[in-house]
Amino acid sequence: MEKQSAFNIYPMDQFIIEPILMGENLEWYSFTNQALWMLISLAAISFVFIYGSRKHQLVPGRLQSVAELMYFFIRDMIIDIAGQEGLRYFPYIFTLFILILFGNVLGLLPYSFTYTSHIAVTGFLALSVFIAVTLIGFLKNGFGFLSLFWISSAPLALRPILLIIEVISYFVRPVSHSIRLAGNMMAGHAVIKVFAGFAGALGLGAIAPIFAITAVYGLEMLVVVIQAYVFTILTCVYLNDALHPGH
Amino acid sequence: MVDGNLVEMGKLIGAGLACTGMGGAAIGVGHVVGNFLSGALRNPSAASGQTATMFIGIAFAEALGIFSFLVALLLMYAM
Amino acid sequence: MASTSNNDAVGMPQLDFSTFPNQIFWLVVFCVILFAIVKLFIIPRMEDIFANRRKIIDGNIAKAEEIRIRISEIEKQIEEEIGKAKAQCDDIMNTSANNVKEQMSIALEDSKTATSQLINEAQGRLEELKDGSEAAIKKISEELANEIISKISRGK
Repeated sequence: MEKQSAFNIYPMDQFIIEPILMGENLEWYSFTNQALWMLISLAAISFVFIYGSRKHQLVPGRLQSVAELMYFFIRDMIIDIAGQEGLRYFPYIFTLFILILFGNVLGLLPYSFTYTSHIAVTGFLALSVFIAVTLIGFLKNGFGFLSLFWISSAPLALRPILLIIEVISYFVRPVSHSIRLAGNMMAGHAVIKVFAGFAGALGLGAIAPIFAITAVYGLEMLVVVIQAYVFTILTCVYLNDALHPGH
Repeated sequence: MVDGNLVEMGKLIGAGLACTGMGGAAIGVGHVVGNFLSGALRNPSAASGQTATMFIGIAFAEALGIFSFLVALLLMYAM
Repeated sequence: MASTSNNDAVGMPQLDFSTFPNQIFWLVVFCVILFAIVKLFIIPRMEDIFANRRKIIDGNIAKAEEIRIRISEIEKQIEEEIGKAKAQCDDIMNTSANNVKEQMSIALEDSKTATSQLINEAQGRLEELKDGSEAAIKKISEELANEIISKISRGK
């Protein structure tokens, strides 16, 4: 794009997927930088949860208390929002949470790759949540699940209109669910990259852009955790809709 | 296609206009958090139980801003 | 720039659909591995830690309950003892008060009789003294009269 050629800022370059093993061409099986960072986050998860709590301490150490914090945070969240029945789906939701959280947080490291910034990844996760929730809803409640769209507390005349709105918003869920996460990640990283480009263009006198990068980086640290939390909490809300569609 | 540059310009202007929708999302999120805060200051003991609800509200308000962001991106890159 | 398939540095890599099969393949692989880790290692471990902690907390609570019951028993005992002691104290007080009263009344009686006796005696002595004084006056007046008579007779 010519308009950025003066500064040579390519904020989207950091999201390019390239094969790093198994040849130059991107096949469906080639090991990419994205897969590498998934592997790294898997290692980090194992480190925190398996190495950190290997001693089964009664009074937790540093790593173990971090692991416990996350574990019981998600657990309490599911109980709060979806009730005790939601606890059956705890392993899935917890897997989702730590995958997204570690992907987001590790993505903040310089030179890293944020796999949650890709719509393919978040879209796949959101679609699987959507399909799973819909199936659970129909399996648990039969056609009673459709009462989710027929709001019996509204006046009768309004209900058909609300039905349309509810159906649309139901099918928009996976879109907003996935784009929210990917969009936030991508926007934050792109903003940092743009400021980094300014700093690079200004050379040694680049105090303002570096200050801005620091500020945006701090904000991103917050956003990264909140987005993982929001993704999980929305999964819980959808699960609650599937388990108790009556209200 | 009449002229490539004209179409290009239209796309970029459209993307810029679509981005104004994100301002609405910002207002919405600010509204949610502000109202939560004013409620929380009146009854701080009930606030901690409603934080999750606040985040859900923020997420819903933000979703619509993200749609406009998506429209902007689609205009710029995918069309 | 509007291309979706060619990977030049300006487009949006997220919308490069040719990478989607690769991304989804690796995502599924790592999701499955992560789910296995969660299911096989993390959840049993956390539940184990939690159960241990729960057990110890429950044990402590039970112990505390036991101690509480024992304390209430001891308190009851103390109440009983205090009640007994109070009764004893009342008893002692009553008996000693009665004793004192009795002794007081006896002493009162004694003193009454003694005083009446003394009064009688004194009255007797008073009578005696009265009688004695009358006789003495008579005697003195007689002596006085005799003396006067003898003086008068000697003066002649």
